[in-house]
Amino acid sequence: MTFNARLLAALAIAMLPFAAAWAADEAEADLEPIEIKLPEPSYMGTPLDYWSEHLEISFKKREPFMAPKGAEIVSTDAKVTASVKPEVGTLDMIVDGDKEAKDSSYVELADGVQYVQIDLGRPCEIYAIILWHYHAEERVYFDTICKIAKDADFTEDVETIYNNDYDNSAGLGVGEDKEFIENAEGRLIDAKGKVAQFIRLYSNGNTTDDRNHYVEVEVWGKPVE
Amino acid sequence: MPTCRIRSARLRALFITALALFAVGALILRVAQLADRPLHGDEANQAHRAGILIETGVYKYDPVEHHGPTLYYLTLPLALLRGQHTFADTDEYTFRLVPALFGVALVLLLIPVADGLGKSAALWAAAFTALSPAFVYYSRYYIQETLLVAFTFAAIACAWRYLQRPRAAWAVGFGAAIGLMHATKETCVLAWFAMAVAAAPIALVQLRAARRAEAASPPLDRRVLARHAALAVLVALIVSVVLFSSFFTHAAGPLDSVRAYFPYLHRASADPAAGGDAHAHNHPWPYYLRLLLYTRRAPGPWWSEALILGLAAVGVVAAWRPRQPRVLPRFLAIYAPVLAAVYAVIPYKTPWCLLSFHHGFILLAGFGAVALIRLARLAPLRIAVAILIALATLQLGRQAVNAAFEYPADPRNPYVYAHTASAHLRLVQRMHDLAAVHPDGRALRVHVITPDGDYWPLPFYLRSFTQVGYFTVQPERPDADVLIVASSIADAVQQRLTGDYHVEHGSLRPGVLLRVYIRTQLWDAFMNTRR
Repeated sequence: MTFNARLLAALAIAMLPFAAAWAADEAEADLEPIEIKLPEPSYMGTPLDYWSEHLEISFKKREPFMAPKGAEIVSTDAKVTASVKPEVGTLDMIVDGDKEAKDSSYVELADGVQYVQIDLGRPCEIYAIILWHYHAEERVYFDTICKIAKDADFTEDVETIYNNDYDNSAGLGVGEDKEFIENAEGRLIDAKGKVAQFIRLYSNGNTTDDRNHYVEVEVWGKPVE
Repeated sequence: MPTCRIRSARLRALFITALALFAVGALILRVAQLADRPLHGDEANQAHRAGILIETGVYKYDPVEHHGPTLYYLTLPLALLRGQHTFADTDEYTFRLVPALFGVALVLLLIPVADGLGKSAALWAAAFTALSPAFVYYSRYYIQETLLVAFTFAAIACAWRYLQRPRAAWAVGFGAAIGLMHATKETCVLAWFAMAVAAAPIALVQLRAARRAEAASPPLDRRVLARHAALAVLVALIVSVVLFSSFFTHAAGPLDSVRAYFPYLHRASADPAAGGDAHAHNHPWPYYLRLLLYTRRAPGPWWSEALILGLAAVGVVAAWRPRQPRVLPRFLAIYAPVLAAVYAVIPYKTPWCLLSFHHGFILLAGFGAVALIRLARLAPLRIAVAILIALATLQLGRQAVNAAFEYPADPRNPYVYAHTASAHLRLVQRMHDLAAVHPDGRALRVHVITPDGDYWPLPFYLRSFTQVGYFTVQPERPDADVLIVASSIADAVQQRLTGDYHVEHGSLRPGVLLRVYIRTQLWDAFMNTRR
């Protein structure tokens, strides 16, 4: 190889990081933070004296979540079903946009492993699922598991995108994700743009009682063309 | 005359049949799914003491805590009948069946007082007793309250029967019931006080009436009366002494049963300057009334026994109407409000204490229901009122089902008080799962470390574990296969641990969590069963 050729090759290699950075910039230019409307923080009662090596503890506000431009809430007024009939509230309250920590805002399901299922109405590219179980007091809900699928029976392209059941007590497999303390920010699950129409969220009671609660579930994504 | 007798016999048979049906209903509500609700710390404590009696035959009255001996001695035959000879053999049914059966007895005890209340009133009272959410809930609770109410009612019933026919047998029954009240709970003195306050004016009125009618019917022989009174006192003393002395094996027991009033008076006083505790159980005077009238905590069902209180108020008024020669309703019309007032002024309040006076209100409500129905002059209107009351009574039943089965440990249930969290049973299950994979099984070493001894009901649930140490101070070497530690001292205990542990939490009560340390090797063995 001539000197010139060597020089050109070296220059090309030296340019690679810049090219990669440019490509990333271009990709990032297509992203923007999603504007999550948060409810009023409303802690009442005794702070939770809870610690476990499976618990995520953070005293910082959540970083803005970046999603492709045009991402929107695709779950508003979606059809919601559940493993059992609610004992308090109605299932449509889970996607009605009311995230406040009020008695009139939450849905209560019976004890044990229960799920709610959201039908987005059409396949969507899903970027984020934000979940508020119950944030009027500090609680940890056990066995929070989120599955997505293309069909209502969860047989086609089923993926588990969140699972903090560290001891497999829900019987859906051991999860590596962290438990979390409920707060007004909700729990953001990164769905990484996966395509699905149906979302199932499981839980198995909480540190206060054995029941399962949902204030709101918000799904950010884009319908697939 | 024979027609009248036949009619009377048929009515009596109908009454007994209806009452028996209410008793069966009461039984079903009281014994179904008795093991589902986690034990309250107090229940577990009582069960532990009964367990010692079952296992060793030894019982010693403690004048500071735990109340009288009847609950434990009445558990003994049930345990033996079920073939349980050690604490580890027992289960929730053995213990909770005792108050459940006494809860049913409260319905059956209406038979001897039916002529005093009126048969219809007794049937309404039977329905209220069977379906009252408070009575259903606490009849499924292994504490002394239901027994105390049953013995109190037995005393009233015997006294009533004695008034009808002054026989020595009723005096003996009255004395035995009084002795059993004393041997059940120290608060029996409150019921005795209310009984005395109610009986005194009624006795005076009755004596005057008897003097006026002296010519018509001879007065009761005073010597016989004195003999029967002495007999009643003697029987009460014998029953009390026999039980408190643990069948003559614990001489200090009877004296302790009197000395017990000093710590209990101290506890009852709200004023710390007067030596009382500024206690977590101190509540303002309308506490019980509020619980009974209306409770709705957060979304979920509402709770109210206002029907019983309202009908009891009607009963109080009706008892004093002229041409109502009702000794028993008038007695109850004084007794129940006086007892309620006494409980209201005592700052130390726990919700199960309301059973004592609420039972008086239930009897009065039966009387009030009949009075209300009879206010209507036209038969169709009477039927309509009766149907309305019956429907409202069914609503009580719905609440009872909610209390006993739907929300048995849920803080929205007004009768749930400082109760063990239902999530506690996860910790219990975890312990059994760990024992199943440990080479020593339930002989694995467990250290429970909590200041103030706040670990109940764990000793009940871990009763079959043989190597459990309960510590109120941190041990020098805390290491064990499993440690269950109060969150408040967990960091300090953790610093002394030398082994590797998996750490998770366990619930005790809502908002009270325990940190659970499981040897990593044991945890891994357990997880191998889960993957």
